[in-house]
Amino acid sequence: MLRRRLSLLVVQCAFLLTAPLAGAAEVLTFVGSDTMSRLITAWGEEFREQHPEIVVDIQVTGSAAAPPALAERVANFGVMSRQFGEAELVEFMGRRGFVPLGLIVARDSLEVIVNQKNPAASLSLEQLDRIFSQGRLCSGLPSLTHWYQISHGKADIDREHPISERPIAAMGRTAVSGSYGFFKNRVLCGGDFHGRVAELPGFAAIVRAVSQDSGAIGYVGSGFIDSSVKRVSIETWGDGLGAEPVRPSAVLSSPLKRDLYLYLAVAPEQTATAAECAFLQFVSSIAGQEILIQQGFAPGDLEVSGIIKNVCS
Amino acid sequence: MSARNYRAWLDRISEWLIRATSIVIFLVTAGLFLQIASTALPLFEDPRIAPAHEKSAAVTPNQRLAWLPESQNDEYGVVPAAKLPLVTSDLGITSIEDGVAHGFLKAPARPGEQPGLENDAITPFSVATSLPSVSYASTVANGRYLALFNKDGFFQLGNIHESDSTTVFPVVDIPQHDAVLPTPGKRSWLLLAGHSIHQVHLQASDDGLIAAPLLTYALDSPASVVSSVGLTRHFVVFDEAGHLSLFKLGQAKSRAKRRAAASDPEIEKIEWRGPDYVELFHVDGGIERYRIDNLLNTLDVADLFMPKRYEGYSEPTNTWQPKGSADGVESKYSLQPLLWGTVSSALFALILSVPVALGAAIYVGYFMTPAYREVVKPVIELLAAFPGVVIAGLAMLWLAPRLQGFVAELIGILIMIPVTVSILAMLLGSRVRSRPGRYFSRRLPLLLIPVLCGSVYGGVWLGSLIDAHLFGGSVVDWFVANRGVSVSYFNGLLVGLALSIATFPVIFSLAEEAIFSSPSGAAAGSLALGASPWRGFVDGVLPYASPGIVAALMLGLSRAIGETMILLLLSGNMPVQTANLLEGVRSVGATLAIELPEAAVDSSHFRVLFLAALILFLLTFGINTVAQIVKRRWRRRYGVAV
Repeated sequence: MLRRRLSLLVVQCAFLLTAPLAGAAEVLTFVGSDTMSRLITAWGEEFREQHPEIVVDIQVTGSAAAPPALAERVANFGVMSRQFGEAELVEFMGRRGFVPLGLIVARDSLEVIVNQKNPAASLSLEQLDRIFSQGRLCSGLPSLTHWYQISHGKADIDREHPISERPIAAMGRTAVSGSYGFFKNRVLCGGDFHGRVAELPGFAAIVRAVSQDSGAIGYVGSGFIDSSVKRVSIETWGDGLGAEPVRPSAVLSSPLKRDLYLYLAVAPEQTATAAECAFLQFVSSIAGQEILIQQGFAPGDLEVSGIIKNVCS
Repeated sequence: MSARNYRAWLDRISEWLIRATSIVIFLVTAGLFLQIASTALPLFEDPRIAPAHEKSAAVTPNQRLAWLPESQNDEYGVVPAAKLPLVTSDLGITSIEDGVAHGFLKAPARPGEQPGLENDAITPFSVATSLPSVSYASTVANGRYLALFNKDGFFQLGNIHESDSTTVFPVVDIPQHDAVLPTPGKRSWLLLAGHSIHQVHLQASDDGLIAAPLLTYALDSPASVVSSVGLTRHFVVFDEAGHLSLFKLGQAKSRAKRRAAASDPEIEKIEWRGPDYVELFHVDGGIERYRIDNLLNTLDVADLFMPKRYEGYSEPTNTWQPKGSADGVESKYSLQPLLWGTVSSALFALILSVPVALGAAIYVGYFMTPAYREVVKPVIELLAAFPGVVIAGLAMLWLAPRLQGFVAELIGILIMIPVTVSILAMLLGSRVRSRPGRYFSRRLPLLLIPVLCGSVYGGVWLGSLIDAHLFGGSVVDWFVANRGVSVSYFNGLLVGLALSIATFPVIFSLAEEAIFSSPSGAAAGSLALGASPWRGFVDGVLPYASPGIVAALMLGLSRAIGETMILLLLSGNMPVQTANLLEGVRSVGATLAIELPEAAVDSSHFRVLFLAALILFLLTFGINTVAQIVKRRWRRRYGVAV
């Protein structure tokens, strides 16, 4: 996280230094989600090769930073791993007088990871709720605090396994993150996180901590998983509602898949700026979609290209 | 101009300059304090209900959806018992026969649309129930269960997705009621029972999920009409005495009260028309409008510091969990765990760093020869040049993965160092005393360094012995397995170690300066009269140096309390209140760093964060004041200028 922030800073400084040389460069500012930061960075790099006159500036904190930035005209694009909340919408309309335009440009899934030494292969949504939540509002069953309490079909963690005595160390993102809210709504049935769930300031930090603590479990965006950790598949609850464990590549069949948005502050009847349109057209082009697949995301909404045509006419 | 005049003029200029800068500093501090306080203080004002004019037509129906409560289509107010079929905005119950309730779920045809009757997708379901009749029903837990209410005072869950299952959930008693009013998020409900309003909430128990009574709202006179519960979690009650009362979910007492304008109007219904704007519809068609000032910023001060039973919790807790971007969720702002995290980690860091820093300061400032001091002091002070984030980063990458395996070794080192030093002192004591100058000047450091290295090595060896023989491999694992101690990867011990490295050079540098610069006459005199160097230090130097040492400690404490990055990166940011050093903590500083950027300006979250900042400010202010008083008292006693 730190290294990424620093490198982003260096890149931004480099842009600032080179911008005057390139003449009156236009700046496209992206503010928001950590989940999408790698995707936007990859898009930005390729986009700059096609449009050297446009500078791409990416600020990564969390989805919650996007609505205020859009409302204050600090950002061209709000990058969000969730929709605008109702309160954010009211706030935005109060400032700008219209509803922001949200485009589903990609989809990903939240994945649950454990340490490499952990034999767990799959967990149910119900078990995740009992691990991460305070109130267990999905089932009402008792909390799970140690790994020996987890059994999952064939590969039980029995008392003999060294992991079994370890407490379950749950890790997640801070409340700024859209993934935090998504996990809270979808996995915890809207209940609260347990006080013992560590809140870390980025997915990269979660991956590193999980790779080092043998009792750890965490949730990360699908693009952040590397070989240092182990991904567990998620079984949904209920009869016939997708009890199949998800395949590693199939983001779209994951029970924790979600839509990822680019928000624009474009009033109805108005069009986006030329630079914004150029970026949107790049995103929906074949090159943009190839980058998206490379980064481990699934394509967004098919209607996006139609909307882009409307906004950029 | 003569040289003398010139100097007098220079003196006067610098005097005024110093005076001006101190006034500026005072003003900046006072301004900062006022700014923080004025941001936080509206939290303590009560909301007010004020008559309002018709809301401007700028709000279009499409935009209105943003703040309308989700239960807008439901019946509300004190209504007669509902008969089957029962239809709410998202489901319907058509019949109950032989212990099975039949009904259907409604979902908008396209995701994201508002549910309406025409285009909705209808999914039938059957749910086992032992209730004879149902007055209200709602899906809960992401549509997994059906919550069924019976107006005679019973509640039961049903499993929607396992219709053929024979599991029948237990029936629990809830207060008798005439109507059920849903709240945002569908995790609690208001039961309207004429004279009283009860809140029941979904809660995990030994029997699984049940509805349990949470709160009874205090009404002055029986309610006649109740508004729906808006997304801001407020509702308005019109009572038989003609008063309007504003309630917030979770607070039993009304936050604002006002007599309605008309003398005895028959109110038909009350509707929210905005986050802070209600309309009262008279039976005869008239409309009264009220605006509620300061609605969003109010909360109960006691909740900030005392345990409270929140929605979905089985007992009162001190919980910090702001709702963030989630709508309709109860925000939990208990400052206790945050203050605990800040203060406990600062004190723990000082426990680790103060003995080392003071010992080093005494040795370097009093005993060490100037030649050594010139080298040693800058080297130690170089540590202060490392910003917190660098220390935190190194600790995260290097220390955190090793820490849990290193606890026994740490204890071993803590035992070994004092033991070896005492043994050495016993062996060499008489020789050192007979020829103090020689030993203190040159040989002692050279002698002590290998001894200290050896005792660290011995501590590691002792620790591994403890691990292997007493605890079967690892002391932490043993406590986890046998004593149920919970351990976190990010924990207070890690934070304390990193914080102590950050505070060590601060305390050392100031304390050493105080000791070194104290007048040497008394110490030299006592040495000349035959006192030992230590006695000379205690009686000759310490009285003069102690105000400076106190200042050093206070500065170290302030540094530890104000440190943000170390806690942000190493504490795990877990708002738990525990004395267990192997658990995570969450500090005020780290919380401000995480949450201030996302908190909407002037929201209650924003103000609570500023209140936390204010408390932190007052805390350090108080510490500094105490330090000043102590310093002044000592100064008076020994007549030193410090």
